[in-house]
Amino acid sequence: MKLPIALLSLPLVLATSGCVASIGNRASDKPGAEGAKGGDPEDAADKLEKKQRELDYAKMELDIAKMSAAADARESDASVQEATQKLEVVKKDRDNFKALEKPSKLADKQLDIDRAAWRMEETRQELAELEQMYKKEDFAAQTKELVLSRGKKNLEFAQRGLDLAKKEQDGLTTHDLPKRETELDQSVERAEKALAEATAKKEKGAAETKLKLLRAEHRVAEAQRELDKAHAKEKAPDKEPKA
Amino acid sequence: MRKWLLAAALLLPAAPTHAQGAGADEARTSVKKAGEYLVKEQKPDGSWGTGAIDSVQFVGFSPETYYAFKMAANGLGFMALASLDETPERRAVLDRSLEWLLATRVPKRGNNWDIDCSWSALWGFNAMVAAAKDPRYGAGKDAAKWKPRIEARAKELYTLLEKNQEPLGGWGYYEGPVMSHRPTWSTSFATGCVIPALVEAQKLGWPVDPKVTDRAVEYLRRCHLPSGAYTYDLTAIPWVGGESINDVKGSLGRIQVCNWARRRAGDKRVTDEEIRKGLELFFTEHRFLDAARLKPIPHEAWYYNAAYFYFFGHYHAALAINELPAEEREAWHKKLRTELIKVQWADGSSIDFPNMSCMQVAGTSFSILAMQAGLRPGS
Repeated sequence: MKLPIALLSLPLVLATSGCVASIGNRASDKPGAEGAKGGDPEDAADKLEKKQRELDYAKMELDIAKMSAAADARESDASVQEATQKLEVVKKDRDNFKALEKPSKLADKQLDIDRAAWRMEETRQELAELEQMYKKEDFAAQTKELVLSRGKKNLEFAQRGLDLAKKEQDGLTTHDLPKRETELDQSVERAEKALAEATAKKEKGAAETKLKLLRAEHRVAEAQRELDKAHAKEKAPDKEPKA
Repeated sequence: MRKWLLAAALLLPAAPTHAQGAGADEARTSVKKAGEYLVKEQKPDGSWGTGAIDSVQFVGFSPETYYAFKMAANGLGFMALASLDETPERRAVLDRSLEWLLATRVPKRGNNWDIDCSWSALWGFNAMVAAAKDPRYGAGKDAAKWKPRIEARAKELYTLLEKNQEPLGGWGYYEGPVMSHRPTWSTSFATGCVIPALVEAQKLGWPVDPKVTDRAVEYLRRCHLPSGAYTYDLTAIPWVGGESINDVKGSLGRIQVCNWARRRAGDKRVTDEEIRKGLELFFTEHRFLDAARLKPIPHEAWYYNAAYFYFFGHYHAALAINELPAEEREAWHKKLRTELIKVQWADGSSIDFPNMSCMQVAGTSFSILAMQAGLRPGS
């Protein structure tokens, strides 16, 4: 996340260095400057300035490389942390499912079955009693028939309710719960892989960063050497001013 | 010293184990005030109560129900006033009351579920039997004037009873589980309250089908539980246990009416001992009726007691007492009177279910009838 900020700040840094460089250029343009001592004093001064600029650029590139390295490290740390958290969450979901949700759902469905079975038994008892009670009656045949037909229908519905509860339990144990368990196992597996991937990316990123930094440092050292060499050459005895 | 104190204590007369209860004089005073209330409250057309919805508790009922309640309460009002000693003023009120009962239209079924017209048939028929046996109306010198009209009205009400008797033999006032032309739900206490009148009607020679009475008596027998309680309604598998209305504590009023009704119908299984047991339970657990009285929501008290169980239960307890040997009745009546007098209002009226004018008429009438049963057995 911090890398874009570093990139945005780059033009500003370059602009500032450009100003410094142009000020330096303007100084060398002045008549009677130090570079005018040699056989081709202007050329020598230009070379020195160029070496100096190369050194400045190399230093800036090293700074940028360090900032990029820090940003990459933060990003890869965050990726690993996120993957770790995701893995913890899905593991908890799976563990909760196995330890609590699955047995609760099974028990709940068994309770439904027990209730439906008892409701059927109650309805059966009640119908038997109603039939017994109405058996003796010698009038109101139509009303009696209405009452008994409702009792019979209630028993039929209770039986169907019990059958349905059993089917639902079957679906739960053979399909719904195993499917859910598999999904949760797969989620854990995916999260483990994601964590491993993030960790590997972090390690690779760290190596690449190290390489980039080394290269940038070497470029600075190289530029420094080149500049030193140019200065030394400029100060050598064969560079006496001509009459 | 201690021994002397103990001996002295043993020699002292034992304190009474329970209150003796209200005597006949207190009962007469109470009844007089209640009678005055009925005389004062009668409307010019000879009726009591409004016949309109007085209570928000009955919002949603068929409009016919309010009229049905009024007719039922008027049946009780007539019976109560007829049981009192006659005065010219009372006689005039009583004549007007009977005239209204004979002339008013018979309520009809309110709608698919509301058949509260049963109450007017139950208490209207009771009132007609009382009028038919009364020497001032159906059984005396003026019989020619009154008897045909009483019998005609009784026949109309009996027709309604016969039409609404459910296949199991009871009478109810709401319909269910099946909505059918002939109702399929009934209660033990509604059924019990009319059985003795049906028995009397047969003695009067009225065309009452004995099977109707037999079915009703059998219905009550089936409602009887080993505890001595009667189930609220007859179900294939009764609800017992917990705070069921079928517990003795929820059945205090029903026990009395059902025992009395079965006994009057000649059911030998209702022995004196069974009636005593029911009365003992009534007074032992009386606090549950006390707690329910004046509760505005039906069945909101413990064991689903409703406020309107109070006077219905006491009236039938008085009738059950009169089924016992004569020498033991007064002790029971004293206990009963105490429970009636303590709740009488200053204007002489009595009410258990609040905010309904017909319940004030019914409560006052039940109270008079209950006390008159002790003062004038057979009235």
